[in-house]
Amino acid sequence: MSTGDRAFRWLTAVAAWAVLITLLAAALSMAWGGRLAFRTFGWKFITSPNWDAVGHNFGAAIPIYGTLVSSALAMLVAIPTSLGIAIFLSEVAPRWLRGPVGMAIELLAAIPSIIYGMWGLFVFAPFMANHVEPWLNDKLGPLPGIGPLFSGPPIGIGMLTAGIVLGIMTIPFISSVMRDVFQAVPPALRESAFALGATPWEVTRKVTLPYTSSAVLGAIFLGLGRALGETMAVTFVLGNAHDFSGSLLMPGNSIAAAIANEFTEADSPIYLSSLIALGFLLFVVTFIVLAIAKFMLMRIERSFG
Amino acid sequence: MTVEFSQALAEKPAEAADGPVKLAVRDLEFFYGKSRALHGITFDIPANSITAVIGPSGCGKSTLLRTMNRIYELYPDQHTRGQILLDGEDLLSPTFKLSALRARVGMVFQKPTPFNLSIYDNVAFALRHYEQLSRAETHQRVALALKQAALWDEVKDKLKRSALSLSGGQQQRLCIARALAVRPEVILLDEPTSALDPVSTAKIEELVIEQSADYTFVVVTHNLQQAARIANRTAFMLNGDLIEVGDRERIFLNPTDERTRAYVTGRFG
Amino acid sequence: MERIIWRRQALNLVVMVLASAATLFGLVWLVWLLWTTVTEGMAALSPKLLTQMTPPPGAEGGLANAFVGSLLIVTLGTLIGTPIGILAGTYLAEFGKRSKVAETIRFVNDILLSAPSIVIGLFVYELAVRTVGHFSGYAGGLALALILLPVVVRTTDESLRLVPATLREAALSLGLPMWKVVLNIVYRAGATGIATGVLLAVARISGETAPLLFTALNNQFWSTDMGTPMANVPVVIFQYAMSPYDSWHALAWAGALIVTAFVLGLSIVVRVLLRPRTYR
Repeated sequence: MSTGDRAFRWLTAVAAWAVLITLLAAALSMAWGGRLAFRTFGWKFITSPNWDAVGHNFGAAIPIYGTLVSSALAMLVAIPTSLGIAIFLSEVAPRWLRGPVGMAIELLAAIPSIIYGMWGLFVFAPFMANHVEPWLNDKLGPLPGIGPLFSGPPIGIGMLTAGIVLGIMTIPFISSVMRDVFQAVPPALRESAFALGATPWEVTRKVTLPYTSSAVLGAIFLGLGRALGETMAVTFVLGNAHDFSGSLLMPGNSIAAAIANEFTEADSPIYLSSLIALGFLLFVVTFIVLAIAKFMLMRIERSFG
Repeated sequence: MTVEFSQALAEKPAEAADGPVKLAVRDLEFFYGKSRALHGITFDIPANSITAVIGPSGCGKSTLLRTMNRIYELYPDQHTRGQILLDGEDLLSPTFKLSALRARVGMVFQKPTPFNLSIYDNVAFALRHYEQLSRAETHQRVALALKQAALWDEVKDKLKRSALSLSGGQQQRLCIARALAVRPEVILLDEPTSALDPVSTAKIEELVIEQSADYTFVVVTHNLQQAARIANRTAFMLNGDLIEVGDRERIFLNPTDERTRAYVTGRFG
Repeated sequence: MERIIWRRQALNLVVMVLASAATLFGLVWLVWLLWTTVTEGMAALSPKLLTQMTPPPGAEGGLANAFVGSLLIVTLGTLIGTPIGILAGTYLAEFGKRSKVAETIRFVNDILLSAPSIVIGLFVYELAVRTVGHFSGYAGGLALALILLPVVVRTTDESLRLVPATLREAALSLGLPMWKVVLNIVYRAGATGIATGVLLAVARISGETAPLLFTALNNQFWSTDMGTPMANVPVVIFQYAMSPYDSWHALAWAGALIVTAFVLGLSIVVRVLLRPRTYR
């Protein structure tokens, strides 16, 4: 290999390693920045619901709960919708419609999340407060079991609104992966099922979905990873409350929203360290979820060659 | 058979070529990972002539060609054993400089591979890498190469146009011009006309015959008629073995091996 | 028998109607979001946006300093992230290929691609704000570079792997060194794909807010000194939208409209015009 080639290869390799180092350095720097909080509070940092900036006592149970619940709600919205869109794009839509509709859905992912946040705050939250939440109060509030989830004043700002906005944001990520893997199913498989007289839905359920199941799960985890870490949209409509509420209609908090709201106000080392520790937790959780997603998607890549 | 005798056989191919030898392949083996694709090939390629390598697909003829300029080294799991002597020097040896080798042994591929550059720059690009030429000299050399490749008349008015705008046959002749421009000694052609129409094929065959006075051509082809039309010498390969090599007439009309006879008479492959 | 066929057809019809409804459901949000942004934003558009600075609470003003700040920060992020990303993608496609190292880096890169952007902001805060002692436009640019980087790495890797191997072989067969082949031949063949990736990544970082919150922060005044805190459109939108003042809300909508128009416009133009053609 010539000197020029060696230098070029070395240069590109350094750049490639920079990607790896960035991820490691990000994890390490947050673990380091959060060490004061982890050392001071130990496991109570995760289990305690107290977030007391004045008394310098920080427990992240509320934001963790909020992150998990809002993401779960987002998945309830996004999974069926995305599956529907993927089926529409591969079975229902005429060929000329697939490109434009697919692109329109992908544009949902291109809209900056702060726009979702503003729209959520000024348009969607009032809509929820005026039209959806009173109805939920009336119809679901009195029910035993799930009733408490839908009780409380209909103020629009809260877990349910945040979950729906998050769900809309994750739809394009999940549906585009699903559509791609659906279309990658070998035509011979599908055609042979059609030849037996199967309906499009039967082909989807008996051929396409079983064949692509791991990638479909991967797509869902990919969307979940996005939802867990989404910041701006949630910050606007979640309400930044540090009190626990069993109702989905009440304000809450999430890890990302707490960091975004409070970081520049953190006036003591332990406060700052607690927020960075929150970031570390978020990073670890999303890393695991995204890694699972990647493994699921790699399995299908391999079987497609 | 004595040991000395078999060694002598290995060193001297059964049927030696007339005239000076340009490339001498000796006990060449080739491996894709662990699987062996060439099982010890030995033969000579005479200078300033056309040698055709024929055989059914998968016989290893393209693999053989790809060892002669070490292009296979691009793929880490491929390696060789044995020798290929270029004017007596083993080109497979790690001490043989790769850039020097490829300057002396050019290659043209099955599918045309024009660079996404102008017609002119396709030819001039490698030229500029090797030689410090003035604009006028560069132009002269580009024009010469295009003339040698029988392409000049068709492109002389649109040298600045993208090479991708040419037809398939023109693109392939451009690739030959590109290889000729750096003045190599050997040009390897890997099924150069299999993607082309009969007219383009004829043009390329004609130019190869013309240029064989100055260059050594090794042509891999699955087209028996083509081998019969252009080759001075023909080598027949089967399943990674060299079955027979000799002058064109002898291989086609009077092969000694039954398998060669079966192949050239069209009974398989 | 007839009955079973009828039931299967009916079920199929129900599912297909539901699938169409789901698509409509997805598109409704897109339309609603854009409608709101356009109507609210248009109402607030005025030439003052470009000529006046961001105002103090409750007052009138523009977004001039924020636009300039965003332009500088996004440009810096692009200038840092693009070359590193292209080089890293080149390593993966041309040298690493299917090796363990390359596959590991691809894996990590894909995770970085979807990692929460606020976490990138925290990282750069630790790296370039805490160590220096103050917020700065440089830190903001670095944060955006880290968000752009994985997008460029991935699209470069994918575009270069689409370049047929024979093109490299042909160029190498002329005796050219690998670096010349990559720079002059392979990049040219993969240029459309790489350009698409870079432009889509620029679109993405132009609207990113979370990583700028505690890197570039904000600045009420005109400043082109990237060593100091710097105004930028997304963070201004965030602060103004969260405020109780109507005049600030209007400015936030105007900013939102312009950012959205830029981001979506760029995404659409890139997708339609530069749709990567496969190399023949």
